[in-house]
Amino acid sequence: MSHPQDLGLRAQARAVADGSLDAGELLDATLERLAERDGELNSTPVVFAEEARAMLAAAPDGPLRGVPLTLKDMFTTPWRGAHSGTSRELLPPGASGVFERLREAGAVIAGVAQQHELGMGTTGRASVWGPARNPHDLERCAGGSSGGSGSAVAAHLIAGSIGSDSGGSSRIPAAYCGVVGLKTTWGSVPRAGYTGGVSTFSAAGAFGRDAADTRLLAEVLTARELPAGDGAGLRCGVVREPFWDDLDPEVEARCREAVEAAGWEVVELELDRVELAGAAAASRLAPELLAGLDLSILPELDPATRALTQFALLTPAVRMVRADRVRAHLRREIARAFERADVLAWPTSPAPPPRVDAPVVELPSGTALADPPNLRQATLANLTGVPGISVPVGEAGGLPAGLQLLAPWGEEARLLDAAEHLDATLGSDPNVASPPAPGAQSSTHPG
Amino acid sequence: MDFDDFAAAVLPALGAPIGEGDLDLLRFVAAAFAPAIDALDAVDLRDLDPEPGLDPSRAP
Repeated sequence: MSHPQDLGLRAQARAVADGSLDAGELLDATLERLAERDGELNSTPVVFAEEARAMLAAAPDGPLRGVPLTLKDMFTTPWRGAHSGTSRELLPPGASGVFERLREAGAVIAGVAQQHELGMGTTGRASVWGPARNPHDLERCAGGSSGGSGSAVAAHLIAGSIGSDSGGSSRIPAAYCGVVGLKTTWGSVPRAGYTGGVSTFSAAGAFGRDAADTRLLAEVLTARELPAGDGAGLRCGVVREPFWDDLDPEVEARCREAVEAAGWEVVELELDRVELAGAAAASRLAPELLAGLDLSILPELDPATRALTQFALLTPAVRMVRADRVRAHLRREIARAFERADVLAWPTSPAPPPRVDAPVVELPSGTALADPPNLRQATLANLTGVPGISVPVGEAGGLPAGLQLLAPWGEEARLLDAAEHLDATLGSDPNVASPPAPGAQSSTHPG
Repeated sequence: MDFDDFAAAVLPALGAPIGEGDLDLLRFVAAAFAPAIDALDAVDLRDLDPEPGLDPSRAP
């Protein structure tokens, strides 16, 4: 018999609901799998065995009744504050808005998903717990900042996880780990008890092994139905510059092939001054996240995070005003683009996941730190507020690659339709055997 | 005043401690982001209107 964590999120929820899978046995099996397999992955450094059993005992009959999930360290629970991947409790314990949505759906929080400290990195390598590793290659980064979410879902330690996304933090780990990662429309999920709740860029994120699983999680997070529709007949906007430029050739090929395979009408688009999106986002986002931070934490941070923090603190006020003007312009530009296209598409990350011990990527323009080109690809969604998703589209250099799609504000359903169409076109199946994992016992694999 | 002197003067004044070796890494980070930041600092804003009451949850 297959392990219950080799079932996707929908399959687990269905099996618990129809009685073919006992929710207590599912939770026990999940906790056992985390104990057996998470050692080197480091995806779920805090496990809530007692609290999860208490949640299960009180779980209402919702769409996720009895289904275990993990939760990024930026969200509070009644028994643990939010630390954002640091040693400090940045928000006190309490029921965050996200926790309440999950509890009302009957879900069970099994642990804390590792994250890049303060959410200030796209690799997931800097954290009080150490790096989250990629289940496809343990020497590679899982991505960030929601690295633990991507890693755990890809390794079949958990079928769904809640992350967040301030500058690609759900989409990039999803691309690196070969799963689906959704950034919700800004403001569509309650912000209480969320360390990113102070930011006009940050939004909750949902991870699943396929788009349909992610839709279920997104419906719970946003507390609204996201009915499935036809994702085949869409107009797909392609912005060549800068999003299809300076890419790893295999990443570019996988993403281009996916768009072609989808059969969408491709609409060539230009967004005026979109090349400024990354700088505008970085200049506004970091000060928003850091404004309330006790800076005595700096000596405790990874040197790279400390340097990024110090750099952000030197942001002149006039640059933030410039960033706001660019942001306003790009919001008008993307709204105009959505008059001609249903979704926009480009690679989530320009290169495969970098090594943990050397977080650089090789691009046609040369070797670069992973963060700046990742932010270039990711931040338009955060700058404008629109939802975005990363969908796995195969491998580049033996590692996962992801295609990013954006849709207009509040159009998560359309985004998920497009992602499900890609899944169907490319043959994704969430209910398959897990990838080889460190410490894996052969008896826990199906077949 | 060069970048190092500026950072060494401003950061402690903001309550941000600077440790040994921090300036080297800070200079590296600043250089990595410099092309994009320089472009933002140089952009002509005259035709970029602000969006009063910008609400990222909805279209402008």
